[in-house]
Amino acid sequence: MMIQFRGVSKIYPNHVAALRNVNIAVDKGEFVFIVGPSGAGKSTLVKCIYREELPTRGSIVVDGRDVTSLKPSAVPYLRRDVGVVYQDFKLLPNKTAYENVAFALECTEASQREIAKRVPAVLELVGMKDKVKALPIQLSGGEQQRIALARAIVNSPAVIVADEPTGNLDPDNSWAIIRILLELSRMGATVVVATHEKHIVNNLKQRVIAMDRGEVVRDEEKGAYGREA
Amino acid sequence: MRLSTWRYAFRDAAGSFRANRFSSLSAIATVSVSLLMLALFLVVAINLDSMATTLENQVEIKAWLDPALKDEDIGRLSDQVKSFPGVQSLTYVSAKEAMEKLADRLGNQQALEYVGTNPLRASFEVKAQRPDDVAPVAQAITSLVGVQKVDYKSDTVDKLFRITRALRVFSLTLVIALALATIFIISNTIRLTVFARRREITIMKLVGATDAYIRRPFVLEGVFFGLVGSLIAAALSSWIYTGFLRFAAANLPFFEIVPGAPLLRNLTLTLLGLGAVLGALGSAVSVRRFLRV
Ligand SMILES: Nc1ncnc2c1ncn2[C@@H]1O[C@H](COP(=O)(O)OP(=O)(O)OP(=O)(O)O)[C@@H](O)[C@H]1O
Ligand SMILES: [Mg+2]
Repeated sequence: MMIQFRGVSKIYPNHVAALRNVNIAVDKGEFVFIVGPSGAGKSTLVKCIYREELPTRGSIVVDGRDVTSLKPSAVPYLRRDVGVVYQDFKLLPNKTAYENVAFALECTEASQREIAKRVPAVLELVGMKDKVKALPIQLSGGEQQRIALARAIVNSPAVIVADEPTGNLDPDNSWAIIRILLELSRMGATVVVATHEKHIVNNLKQRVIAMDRGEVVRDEEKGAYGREA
Repeated sequence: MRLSTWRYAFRDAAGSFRANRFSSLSAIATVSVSLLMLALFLVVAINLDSMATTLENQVEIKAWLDPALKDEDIGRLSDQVKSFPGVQSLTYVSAKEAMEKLADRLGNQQALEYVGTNPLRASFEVKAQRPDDVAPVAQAITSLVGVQKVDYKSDTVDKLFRITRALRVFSLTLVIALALATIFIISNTIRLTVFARRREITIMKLVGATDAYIRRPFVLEGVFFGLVGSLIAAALSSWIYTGFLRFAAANLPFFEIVPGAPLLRNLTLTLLGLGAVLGALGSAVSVRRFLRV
């Protein structure tokens, strides 16, 4: 099991219960969509995987690490093992595409030789090898998200999580990003994508975990976005 | 730790120094002023302390001996006193020597002849190792058989003692205050850099950088401010002190000014060490708040 949630609840300091007794198990190499209405707890669930949030109750194990009882000094090593893609890309505006990706490797104290080898490889994988010198403002949203995706995978993480990665993109770019994520899961990565993209979810027939008001209300192999939809 | 890690840290520190040239330079200037004040105060305190120590060392215990004592009794007593803890040296002054000294002082070589018999008594002049040994040593000598009277300038000792203690407390307080001021200056400057890079820090945390890695360039920058500031302070204070020494040699012959030879080297090393440590502390303080992600 690559990701395992057991009885996970998250109550924010303002008493909002964002997760209620969530139990999920995701295998190595699986591709999972998390769907549900706004406020259902999708982002909270995703943040718990790489410990941006700590659950109030329950246990989370990611790639053999007990996330809930991790020492603060061990958190960076968990995060190197979980690549994260955000809706707003979170690229550094003063760094080029290449530098944004290299930056993530530098943060893991990789050598310059490793950086010179791996950054072009992932930029090629996301189809951005022609724009390595461009600054984020010189790139379209879809291109920026590919750079962000390249940054997330440059460490070869076992798990890739994406929180509405296509939320700011047009349909073509959305499809492009999702295809790369699918490809990565075929190459062995475990991929979790929180999304509102009905069309994409219904088309791909992947596993779907549906949430509502903090609870898992549905978990289906080859699922759809919603029964009624 | 890998070499490349340090290379990234140096590159980032240099980059932010260049990006904030103006505030960096003014931080260095302020740090040097603060450290210069600290240095000047330190050399003044060292000089006052050295004068006080000289005076303290001149405090002597005088023990008058029973005139009936035989030479071998005096020898035994002298050995006994020398064995007390805290005793540095003992000089025996015979009655005859005492009279000669008195005559010397009066400028009258015939004093002995006038009096006929010597009314003065033989004595021990005892020096204590440290000023606070004086009272207990005097106490111990008083209790010896054959010693008639013990005297030392207790009020002088107490006064000196109080002055030097006050001086030490005052110097320590001032040094701490100036050190805190230096930390404050450096941390305020680094805070600007950290604030400008807070987005970057958040992303660094999310892609798995350790806190040490994130802190490193900021700490380097702070250490650099501290080191350059302390170098300037050391150069200026050495220059001022050397000038003062020259002035004192010509105009203040009665004061024993501490010579520059080991003092200025030690001062420079102290300032450099202090500058580096304060710089590191100042920046560590600024980064801490931004590491909680
Ligand atoms: N940091 C926070 N502090 C307090 N409450 C929060 C915080 N983050 C989220 N919440 C609350 O927790 C609930 C779940 O939020 P979450 O962001 O996980 O939902 P979501 O499913 O991602 O929604 P969306 O589809 O709009 O992104 C919401 O009611 C939200 O208001
Ligand atoms: Mg969300």
